[in-house]
Amino acid sequence: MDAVISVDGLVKEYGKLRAVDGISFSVPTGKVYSFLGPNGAGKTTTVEILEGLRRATHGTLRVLGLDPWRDAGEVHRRVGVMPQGFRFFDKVTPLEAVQYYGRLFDVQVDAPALLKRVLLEEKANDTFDKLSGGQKQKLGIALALVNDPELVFLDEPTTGLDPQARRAVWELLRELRKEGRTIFLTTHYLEEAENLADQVAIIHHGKIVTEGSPAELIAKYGRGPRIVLEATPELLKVLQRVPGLSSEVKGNQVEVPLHQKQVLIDALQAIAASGLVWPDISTQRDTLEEVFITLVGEMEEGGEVRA
Amino acid sequence: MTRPSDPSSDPLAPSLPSSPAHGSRAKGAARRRGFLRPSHVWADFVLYTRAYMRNPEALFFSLLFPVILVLLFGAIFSGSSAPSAVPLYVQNLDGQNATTLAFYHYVEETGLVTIHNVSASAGPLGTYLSQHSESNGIVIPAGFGEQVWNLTHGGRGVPVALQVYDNPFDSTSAAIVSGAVQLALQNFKGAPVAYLAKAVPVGSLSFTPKTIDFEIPGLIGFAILMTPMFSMVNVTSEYKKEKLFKALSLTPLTKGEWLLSKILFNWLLTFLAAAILFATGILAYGAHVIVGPLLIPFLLVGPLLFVSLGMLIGTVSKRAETAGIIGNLVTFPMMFLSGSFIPVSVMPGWLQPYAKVWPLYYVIDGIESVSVFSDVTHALIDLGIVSVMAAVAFVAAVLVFRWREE
Repeated sequence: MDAVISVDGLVKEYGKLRAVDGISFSVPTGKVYSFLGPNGAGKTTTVEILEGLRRATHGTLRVLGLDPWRDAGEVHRRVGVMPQGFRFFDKVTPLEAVQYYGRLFDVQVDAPALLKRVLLEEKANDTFDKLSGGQKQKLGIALALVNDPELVFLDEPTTGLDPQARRAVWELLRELRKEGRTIFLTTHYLEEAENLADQVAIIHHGKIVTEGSPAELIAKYGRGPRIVLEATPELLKVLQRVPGLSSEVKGNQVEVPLHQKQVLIDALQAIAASGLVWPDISTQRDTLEEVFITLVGEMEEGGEVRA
Repeated sequence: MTRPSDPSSDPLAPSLPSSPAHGSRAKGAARRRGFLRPSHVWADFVLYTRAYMRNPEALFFSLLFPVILVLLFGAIFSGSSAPSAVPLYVQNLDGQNATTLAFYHYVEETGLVTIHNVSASAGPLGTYLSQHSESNGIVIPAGFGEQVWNLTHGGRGVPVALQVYDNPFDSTSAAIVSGAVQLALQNFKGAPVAYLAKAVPVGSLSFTPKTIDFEIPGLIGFAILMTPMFSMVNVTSEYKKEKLFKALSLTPLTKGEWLLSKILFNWLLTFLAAAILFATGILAYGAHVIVGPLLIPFLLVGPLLFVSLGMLIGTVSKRAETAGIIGNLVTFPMMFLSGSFIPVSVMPGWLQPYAKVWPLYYVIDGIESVSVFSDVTHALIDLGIVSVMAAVAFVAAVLVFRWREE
């Protein structure tokens, strides 16, 4: 498998502080690879090292087969980057910004078409300081695409976007992937990683805690799909007599893993025989969010994670 | 940092399907990055200029504010002030000759001047005047009385010149001194006045400069200082804060190209400001300025110096706010002490040495040497000083300024 990025034993030290503590991973061509982690976990530092903006303290790394620090010029020609909290010159319009990047990269760029692609065509002639937070982010994405990059780094591209704009950006990322581009996505929205990423690495305190596809991680660390029965006290008494079920009772909820087929059938038959009804029944499965909480820490409101 | 020895060991990513939405790489695009590519410099210059032109506040301070100052200073200094007795320092080298004493008396009698005697042993009057921060004086040379006597009594004599020192920054008092001398000489009928009243001011001038003529070099200096200094302090500290340098370093634009574009922009603005200032001075107050070719190096080296200094301040300051404060601490004293508004030569004597520590002093002094005095030698000395300072500041700024972090 071709690796667009390969990292082995990467360490970044600031004095005595180890921001990145010996991480290794590789990003296959044409996939969406997502870095997930709380603030200060070392995500941005790692990404900036991959982009050639910072120099690694130790470790081997290749981006498109190049050393991103030494061969920064060549790397920058071939990758697109939207930095975290993207900012541009206040008095420059998106149209001018795209044309400017086109001249710097020596490419013919259809600026209006590119702005249309990121849903910014209506603001093409407004100066940057007049754009909303979401529109600024979109310009950041547009500029990352000017040089038709093989590899795109997006550092928290949807932070501050409203749900609708966020979905639109997701759609764009799916299109970019279809075009064969590799996407390195840093995010602290778990839903985003689950929706978009082929591979997720959860990073915490400068180390990769675990890595895999969202489904693999859920299967590995989650509790698997299950039926959850809301029960009345009478119903609980009935259910407690079902063999193999007693240990699954939690308050007035009874959880039955789907793979325990016989237990499930026995339980439903017992309920039918008693003539009682359940107030509520649902199926549940763990999301990346639950996995993340288990592995890293507590959740913050709005789906953001804090260490 | 580990560096793999063979950069070509990994195969490159496979080619991509070309995207119809945006462009393909231009053919023949240079693979190697040259240090300075004119197309990059031009693209950055155009973008920056355009953005600057959209900033009314910046434009006001760069172009309009100096014009307002010219109009203001012109109005202040061209107003007629009520003449009062001007102090006049007289050094009599002709002893007690009766005619000389009579002339002395007639000058005093005009009431236009208050005479202070300077003894012959005090040394050259010019030196004495500058040591005492005074400007108006007359030297009565030895043999003066006898010559005047001869000339007024039909005899022939060697023409004698009175040496008159006056203040080129103060045309009013200069005129008063001249008037007093002329009036006194009228008492010696038959004496050829032309021989006697010969002004010897600071330099050898073909005209009497007015205050406005000195204000213009000062305000051009002001423009050379303000725009480059403030824009670069602001740009370097704000770009750092807003991570704009980071964004730019992800493009093929190099540090050198970016810097050159900023220098070009500041040159453009300085030339514009200088042209506007000259035009305003000439049209509004009839200023007499000599626009010599030697002005050009000052308009190039000056902005380079302050671009570098501004960049240095913006780069070494950790925070944008600190950069602003340091910028002000350097800029404002320099602006006032270097003669932007008030010529250094009319400042109190004790203050003048402090003017000469600021780079701007040499810029203004040099421009003044060209545009007022046509004094090439003096201008070249100033230019040399400014060039050395600019070179040091530029090298320091380039060394300190980082595009990327280690």
